[in-house]
Amino acid sequence: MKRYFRVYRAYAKMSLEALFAYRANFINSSISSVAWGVFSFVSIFLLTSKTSTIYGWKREEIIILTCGYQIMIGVFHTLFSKNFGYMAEVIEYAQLDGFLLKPIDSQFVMSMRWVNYTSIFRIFIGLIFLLYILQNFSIGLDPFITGIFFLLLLVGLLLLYSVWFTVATVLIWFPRLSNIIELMFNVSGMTRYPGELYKHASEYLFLFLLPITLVVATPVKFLFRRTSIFDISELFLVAIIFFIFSRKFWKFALRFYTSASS
Amino acid sequence: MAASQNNLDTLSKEGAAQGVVTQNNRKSYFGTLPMRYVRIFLLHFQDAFQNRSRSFVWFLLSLLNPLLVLLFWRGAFESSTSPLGDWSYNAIASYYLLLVIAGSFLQVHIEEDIARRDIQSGFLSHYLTKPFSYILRKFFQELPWRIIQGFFGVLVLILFSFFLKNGLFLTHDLIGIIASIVIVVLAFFISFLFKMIVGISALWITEFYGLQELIGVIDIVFAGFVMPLALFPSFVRTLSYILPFAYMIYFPILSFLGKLSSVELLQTIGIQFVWLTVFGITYRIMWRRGIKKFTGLGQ
Amino acid sequence: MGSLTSLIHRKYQTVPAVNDISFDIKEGELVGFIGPNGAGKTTTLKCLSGLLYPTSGFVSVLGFTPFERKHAFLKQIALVMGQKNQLWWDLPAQETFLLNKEIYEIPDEQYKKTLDELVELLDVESLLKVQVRKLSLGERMKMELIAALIHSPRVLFLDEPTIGLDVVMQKKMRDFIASYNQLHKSTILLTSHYMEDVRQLAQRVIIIDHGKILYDGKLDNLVKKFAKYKVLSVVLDTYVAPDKFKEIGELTDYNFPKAIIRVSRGASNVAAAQLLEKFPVDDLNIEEPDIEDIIRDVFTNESKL
Repeated sequence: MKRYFRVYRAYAKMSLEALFAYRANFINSSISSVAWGVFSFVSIFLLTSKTSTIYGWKREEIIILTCGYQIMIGVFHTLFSKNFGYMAEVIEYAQLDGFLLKPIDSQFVMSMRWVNYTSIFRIFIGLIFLLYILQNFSIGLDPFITGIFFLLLLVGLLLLYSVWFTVATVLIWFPRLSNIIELMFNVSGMTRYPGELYKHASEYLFLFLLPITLVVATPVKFLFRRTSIFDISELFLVAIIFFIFSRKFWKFALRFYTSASS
Repeated sequence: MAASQNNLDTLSKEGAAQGVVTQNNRKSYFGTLPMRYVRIFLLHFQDAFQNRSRSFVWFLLSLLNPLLVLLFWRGAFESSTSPLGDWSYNAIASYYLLLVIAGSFLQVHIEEDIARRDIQSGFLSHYLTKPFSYILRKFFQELPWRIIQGFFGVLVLILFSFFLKNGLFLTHDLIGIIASIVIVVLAFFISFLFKMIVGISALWITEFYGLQELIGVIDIVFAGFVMPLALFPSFVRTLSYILPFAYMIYFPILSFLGKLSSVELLQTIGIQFVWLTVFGITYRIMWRRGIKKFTGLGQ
Repeated sequence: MGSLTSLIHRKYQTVPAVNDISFDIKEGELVGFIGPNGAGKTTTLKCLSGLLYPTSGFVSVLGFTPFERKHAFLKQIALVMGQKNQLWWDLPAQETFLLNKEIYEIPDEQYKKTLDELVELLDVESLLKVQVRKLSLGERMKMELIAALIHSPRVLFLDEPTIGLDVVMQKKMRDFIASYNQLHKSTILLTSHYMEDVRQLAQRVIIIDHGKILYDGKLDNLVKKFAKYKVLSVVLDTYVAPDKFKEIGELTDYNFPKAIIRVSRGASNVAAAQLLEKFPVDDLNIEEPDIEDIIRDVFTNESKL
């Protein structure tokens, strides 16, 4: 356990050095981060400018949903998303062997190798807007609620990660479809809409997209005290199940890969 | 561009005999020229078709967001009768379905290939040492992908139109349809030229990726991917009509929806020609300067 | 902290890639540009193919000014860059050939004739319909050559053609280049940092280092001009102490029963005779020194040239 912590510290340090060494990358990533951060808010403001309630959510609640999304996706992009792109490349160009031969858990390496510090901008943008909205609509918060809110976001993060990792694992059978990672960015974006959206389209769709509907919506609903103990335990349960599944699925995929590799 | 540079008369004497071989076939010049382009296009199409599963994933990308936002609007329509003014549910649904096709057919992505592969990885050298126009090669490279993804879009449109209660909200009159086709063709070229410009800007800018994302985000908002520009707050709406993005995606959709009057159709086509000229000239200038830089001329 | 400042303030230095290079190449010549990495070989090639504009001087290929990149000029040249493929990855190489057929406007008959000839020469008949990404590196290089030669260029530029290939493939590549040059009398300029490429191929060799020409001429002359010594390689019958060889010449390598002795060029015959007379010699060879060694000497002595 301690070894992994030290390895991760090394990863974080290397990523930091790479960040400063490649100025073009630093500027690129920062611009990209800020652009998408601002965009999320622009689009939600535009969409909610015409109505005051949608699916039982008030306007300010939907905007706070986007704030929650920004914070969570900011953390997700900082910790994980670059690694998924890299993972798709590694699988597509059959470079997986190098990782499997190292005495360290491959899922850990694949998921945490790079830290994308510039995505921290998105977290800040999310936080700032959150404070602004809370201020504007005079929504009070006490530290206990806020604390639980961030905890729930973390659980949502785990769930989102597990879904991504499962999808990325599928690439072992279809290495050419690396652009599925691009698709996942958009799929993540689906988490900033109220889950009721999908329920209204079809019950099957809602069931299929269950993780998506829980990731951000549940923590935010908690913020407005609209969650029951059932909702919260649902989030925990689904997150844990998906995480365990992603791990088992990865191990299964590796067995396939190592027996079929040419 | 390509044809005019076939300066057969500047051949060196030694070269005339064997190197440049098509002189004897020149009697069928006008017949062979377009055929050559068709064959080149078909070869590029083969390559894109080989990658059709990747094309499908890209298509899913352009499918996801419009459908999502449409679901969002559905909620709006359930809580009030006409939240979007004179846009009925049918109209807005048709808008987003056409947006799927527009996103897959009219959104050009060649800038990534130009910046990463050609300029940064140096494959541009391959193109420069061949007797064929670069922009034309890129056009033939991009077109097949757009056709394949656009095809998926049309399938989706046909499929979903069965689910719309009052059918698809589309223009019916002949003039409207012809004008729409013209507008779509012009939109494609504007989109293509714009992305060519963005792509070759990598000759000057190392921070290309950031620029690409920034333009991508601006494009999403101002081309009408979030919602119809007519529904924007007035200030943003005016801005979006000034920028070129609306003329690549939004107006083609509007004209197919029949929401443009004859005057507006003509206006749109006029403005599209203006943008086409502006981008055409800009590209030409950038290409000349850029290649000089790439080949070290004037340093 | 150092890494943070590099984010803000970058220092760049201008280094001339090529500095005063002049040469004339006749049609049909096979010329090898040899030099260490960064010597300016690729830069020279790029100037000749029109990819680089020389800051001063005059370039003419086939009567054209390369950097104008007129189509009539481009139709007569070809550039092959080491590992940078122009082949379509997901389709058989044949499709890339067809594309080049259209780009260079090659008539059907000539295309077929050239293709058949190249395919036979390179022995890739069975691979024509295989997707390029399924081919090995060597096979891909062969296809790359066909794609470059399908329009029968009069001038062929090869940039590091044998890089990354295994020994067998390297030899095949060299044999092919040599026969192509013989058959078609096309002018071939190749750059390399492998000695073997030069030894086997180039009739004429141009040595470049730090952007300057150190030598331009026939390979044999290079050896004769710069090699002040010859190499005697000996196989001994019984063991002889190393210091015994001092009276013959400089012992550079001793791995019983083999010994390598360096002697001055003029004295090589005498030295050989002495060896045979005074030492238990099983086998004796008088050889020219390794070209690598010669060139290394040339580089280190460049100030004297």
